[in-house]
Amino acid sequence: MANVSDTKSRIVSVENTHKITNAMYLISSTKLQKAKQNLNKTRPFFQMMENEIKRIFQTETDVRSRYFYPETGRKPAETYAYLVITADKGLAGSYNYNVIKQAALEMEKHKKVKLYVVGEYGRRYYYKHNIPIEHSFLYTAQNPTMHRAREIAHILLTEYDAGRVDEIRVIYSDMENELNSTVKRMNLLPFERKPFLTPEDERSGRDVHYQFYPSVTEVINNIIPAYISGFIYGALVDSFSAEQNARMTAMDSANKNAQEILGNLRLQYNRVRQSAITREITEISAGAKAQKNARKGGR
Amino acid sequence: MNTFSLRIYEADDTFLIGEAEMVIVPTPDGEYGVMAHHENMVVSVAPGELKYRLAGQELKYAFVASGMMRIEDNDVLILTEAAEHPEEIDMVRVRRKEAEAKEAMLQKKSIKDYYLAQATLIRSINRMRVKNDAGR
Repeated sequence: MANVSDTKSRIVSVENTHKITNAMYLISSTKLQKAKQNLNKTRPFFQMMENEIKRIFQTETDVRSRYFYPETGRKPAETYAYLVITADKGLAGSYNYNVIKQAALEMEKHKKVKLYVVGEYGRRYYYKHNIPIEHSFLYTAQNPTMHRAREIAHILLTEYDAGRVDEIRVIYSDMENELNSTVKRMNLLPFERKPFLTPEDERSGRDVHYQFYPSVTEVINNIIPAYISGFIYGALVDSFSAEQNARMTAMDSANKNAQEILGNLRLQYNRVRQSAITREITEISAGAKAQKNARKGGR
Repeated sequence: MNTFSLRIYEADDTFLIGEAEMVIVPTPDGEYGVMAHHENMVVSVAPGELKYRLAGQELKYAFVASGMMRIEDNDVLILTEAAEHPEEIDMVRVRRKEAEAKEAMLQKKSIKDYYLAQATLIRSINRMRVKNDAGR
């Protein structure tokens, strides 16, 4: 059986770990609140932007832009760019693992892939596994800002415009609710008409006709960067929320586990202490008895 | 005076919702003004100075980044990456940004940096314009 001081020091160390996990839990929950607020703020812009692009498709069927798939004569894409959003730190359950797994599944399908990784954890993972990534692409997953999203969008668009990549896809985590988040893939560029157009859309609303100023192509080429950076911002915020949520769940179970271990250790500590006391009493009383007997015998 | 409903959304927030008499947006080809009962239209918005007059109020200025404006049945919707009221614009910060952008453009580290700096410079200059115009 372990001795008293050993058990005591284990209790102290578990208590300290418990303090840390508890603090991390609280930090994550406040960060999650903030991220959720940001997410709600960006939603209206995003939905409306999607709506407007849909409407432009409805009214103008022959939009020609480098950002769209041509309706016919589509060339197979060669180089795919993947924007993978991971966390900066671990300790978030299976959050990072899920993203990386999904990314690996997707990338298997293509020959040439360019990897843009957000978050330190993902970057380190790819370094370790000798998977080439874009090294100059250094963005943190912490506290997403519009500014950062704009920069990322700019980098991706530059590559796209220069023809170095043919398709841009994003892999991010979507927080569906408090319990669930899933890893999602979004084909960012070029646009497919289909996701924007459902069959009912195509039938209804055709009567509204717009004039475009200066021209359809001009309008589209101007809003695409805004749409892309808007989408990336949304994906960053969404992933950040999912990360905080995953960390909260992980820390919550760590807390529960710590409490259980502490309960067992305290029980053990008390037992050890009690048996030590019992032993001491036995020794003392046995010693006293022996003294008494010795004194009796001496008389 | 006739009014129309005006909504301006920026990527990370709702900027303005209200009844307006007039709005003038910056476009790649110059300014484009809209009043009530304008025909249905989609207009490309360039970074610059947006002017609007809400019902019964005086003309106000705002900074907008690139985006679009949609006019449909007397309802005007402006979607832009960023929008700012003049009182939100921090001149010190903008000046610093402008200086940084100019510096970066001089150094011409790479094409990417150059374009980024150029875009920052355009935004900075327009922010300052909005601030100055509003202060008049």
